Amino acid sequence: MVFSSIFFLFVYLPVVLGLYYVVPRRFKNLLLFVCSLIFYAWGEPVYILVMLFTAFIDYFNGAMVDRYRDRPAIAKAFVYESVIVNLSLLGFFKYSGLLVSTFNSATGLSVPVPEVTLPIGISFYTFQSMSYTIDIYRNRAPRQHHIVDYGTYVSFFPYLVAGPIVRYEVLALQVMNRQETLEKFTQGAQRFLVGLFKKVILANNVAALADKVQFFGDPSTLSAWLGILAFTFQIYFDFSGYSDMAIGLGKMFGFTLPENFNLPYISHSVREFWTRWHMTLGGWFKEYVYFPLGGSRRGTLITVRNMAIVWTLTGIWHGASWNYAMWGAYFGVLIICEKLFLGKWLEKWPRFLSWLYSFLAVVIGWVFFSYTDIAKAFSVLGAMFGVGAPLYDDMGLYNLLTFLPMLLLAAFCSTPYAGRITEKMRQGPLVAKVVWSLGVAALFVACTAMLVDNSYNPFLYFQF
Amino acid sequence: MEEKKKVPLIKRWKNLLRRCGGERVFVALFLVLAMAAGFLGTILLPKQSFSENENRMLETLDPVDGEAIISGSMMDNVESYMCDHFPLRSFFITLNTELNLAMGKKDSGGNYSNRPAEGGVYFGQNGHLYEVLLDDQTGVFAKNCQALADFGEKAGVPLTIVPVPSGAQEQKEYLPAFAVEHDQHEELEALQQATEGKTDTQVIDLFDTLDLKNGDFYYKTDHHWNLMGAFTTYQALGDVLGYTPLSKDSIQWEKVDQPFYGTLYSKAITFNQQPDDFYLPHFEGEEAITQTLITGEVKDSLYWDEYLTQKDKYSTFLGGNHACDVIRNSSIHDGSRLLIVKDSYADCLVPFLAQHYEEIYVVDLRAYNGDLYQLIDEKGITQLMALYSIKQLCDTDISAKLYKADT
Repeated sequence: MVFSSIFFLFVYLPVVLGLYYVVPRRFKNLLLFVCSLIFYAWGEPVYILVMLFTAFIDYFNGAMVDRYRDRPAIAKAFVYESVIVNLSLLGFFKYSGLLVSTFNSATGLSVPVPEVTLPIGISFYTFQSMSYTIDIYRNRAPRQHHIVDYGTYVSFFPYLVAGPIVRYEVLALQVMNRQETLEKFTQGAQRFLVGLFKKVILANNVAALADKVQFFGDPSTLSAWLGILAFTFQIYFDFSGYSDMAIGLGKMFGFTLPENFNLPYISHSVREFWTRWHMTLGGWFKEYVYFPLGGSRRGTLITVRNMAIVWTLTGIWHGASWNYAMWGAYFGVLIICEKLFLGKWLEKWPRFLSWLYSFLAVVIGWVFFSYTDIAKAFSVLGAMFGVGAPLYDDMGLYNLLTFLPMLLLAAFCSTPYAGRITEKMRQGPLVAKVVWSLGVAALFVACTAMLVDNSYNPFLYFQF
Repeated sequence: MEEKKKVPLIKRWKNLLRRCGGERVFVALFLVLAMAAGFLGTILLPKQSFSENENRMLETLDPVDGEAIISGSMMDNVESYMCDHFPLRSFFITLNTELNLAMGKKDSGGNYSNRPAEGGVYFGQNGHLYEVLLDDQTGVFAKNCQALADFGEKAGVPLTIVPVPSGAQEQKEYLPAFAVEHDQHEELEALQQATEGKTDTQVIDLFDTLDLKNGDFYYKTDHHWNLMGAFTTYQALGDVLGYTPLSKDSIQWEKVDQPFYGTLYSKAITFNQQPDDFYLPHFEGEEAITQTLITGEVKDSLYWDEYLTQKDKYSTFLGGNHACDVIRNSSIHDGSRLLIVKDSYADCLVPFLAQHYEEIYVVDLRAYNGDLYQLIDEKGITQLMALYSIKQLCDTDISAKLYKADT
């Protein structure tokens, strides 16, 4: 099930919310657990077994780690087991096709490529599940004794299929003890609506342009830029909108989930971009990969190696295709350069130039992200800079005229001003408050209209 | 505890409201009430089974069994059902289109992530809607082209191929600025090439005949040509088929009272779309003309009045697409027997042609399952015509049926 659907908004959510606030405290987690399983099974009726398997392997591992705490060798073995089981599952479901076909093309053999479909959210929940065992091993959080509480942590539907990736230590206490208040509920509702607006109105609309440019192929310079800018906004608003909805839903159930995006497109370096983009994934890699490898404390050479490893992994996490690895490696190279020398230059540049550099670097990154065919990615990149493509054509002009307002709106919403202005209105005099309230309500009606029309509603996370 | 009790309830609520922010409470309340209304409305309100505006059956709930759950088809079914029966559904759909137009969009209903991609509908000038034409993605046209080119020779009867260009092709002046369209000349030329040297087969070029400079030959809200488009083609075909066409003045043009909103409107529903005028042609001595259905039922008019009160008015002509109908003109006894393989574009052309043929066999290959060549032999067909919109030739494979005698 996805949040941006009529069924979720007008059946699932009201029913779950209603039940949640009716049942007594001691059944609340059980209810969330059961409802989350329904949520997942709605989209993956079979693969829910994979999710449950992962969850309970780690429940067991966590218990064992806790039990053999005074015998570190045994405890460590269970941590390894957790990592191996989770990564094997991820490897099998996500990467076996890629590995076999790469093997085939490298050796000229034709080993049958396994046809496994990717269980939704597997990249998210395996990472969460692993963090449970590791955090217990590191003594960051207590072991979860109640299987229902544990199940609630692993399967909580707001973040189950698309993040934020919530490490166990962050949520451990909230699962056992949290308070639902009207304050949280209203904040949550507001946040949810912001996310819905980002996803349904911004992301879905610009997505139509991004797909159109990809479909027609061989774009002019104008079309190439419009297409990739559309994708730049699509992926940001889709992903961050989803995170906003997750955080908002969490609040409506009394949880405080970690932030995942913080206006990434205003960054002044690529490094800054990655502290603002998909922050929980970055945090996860930092916590469980970068620091254990020695982080940046063991000399420049090791630091560079560690960064290269983390960024390639980050890339390939996003999808089982080499273009994602390339996309990650590309950021790795930029960030290493920034660490070594570029960063110092950037600080001296005018603010506009350092922003332009970062934004362009990210946009060019999206070219490699959105075109799975690397040769095509290079030809589009060429077109963007006038190589082998006309400056403009009818298609480009048509797209410019018909999508300009939407792109401008998306660009505006990528800046801090959108949030600041609406927040000022919300806290302003009565008239401003009324306008704000009616505006938010109207946007929800508009979102509903788009969803009822069953118009374009792509789901980006199938590949993650 | 004691302290708390002393604060009156009203004041506690006021404090709470101030802490949360009245505007936030309003928004949250709006969300909750809207969700509840949507939920209860979908369950309780009476259901429609057919959407007139969109001209399609609405989703019904399938019985639930284990297999439907495991395959996920139950979930898809329920989600479509929700969308199809949502309260105020037609209002929301219209609102969505209007919002898109307000944001500067000039087309609607496209989907470029589907394969084959769908172009949707352009909002043209003067209230005209047009199909967005895309380059061929499926190879269907190439198959149809070859099969049509071979058809006449195989049947041993002279064949006239009439590929009809789309409104978007003929009325480029009305398209939105810089709108990109596939050029259907490509298909016309492919047909001309494929039939080159076949003396019994002709391809008719209607591109100039139906051009906007000669008149508006397409409905604003429907993908078909309008009656004038069919009439103009009927006049142009006289020389080729060997009849003397009637003049415009000798025909009575009956304007139907009800407004006509066609298939393109179904994909681009707005609040203030101008409807089309819908005309029916009446001829002197038309009582002599009957339509015989495959069931043997004989209708004494080519116009099925029951469709005039429905959304799908175009089906008034011949009652829509049937596998095989026979149109007889009992005032003609010259043995002339025309067989038309066709799509729905032919439906409003047939009443004109019926003035000149003793019998016309109207065959829709999408529905016809008999042996076409046997039919041609048995009925002593003297002329063949293939009348298709080029769009249809790109979308629907009829080649297998045209080759059927082989297999």
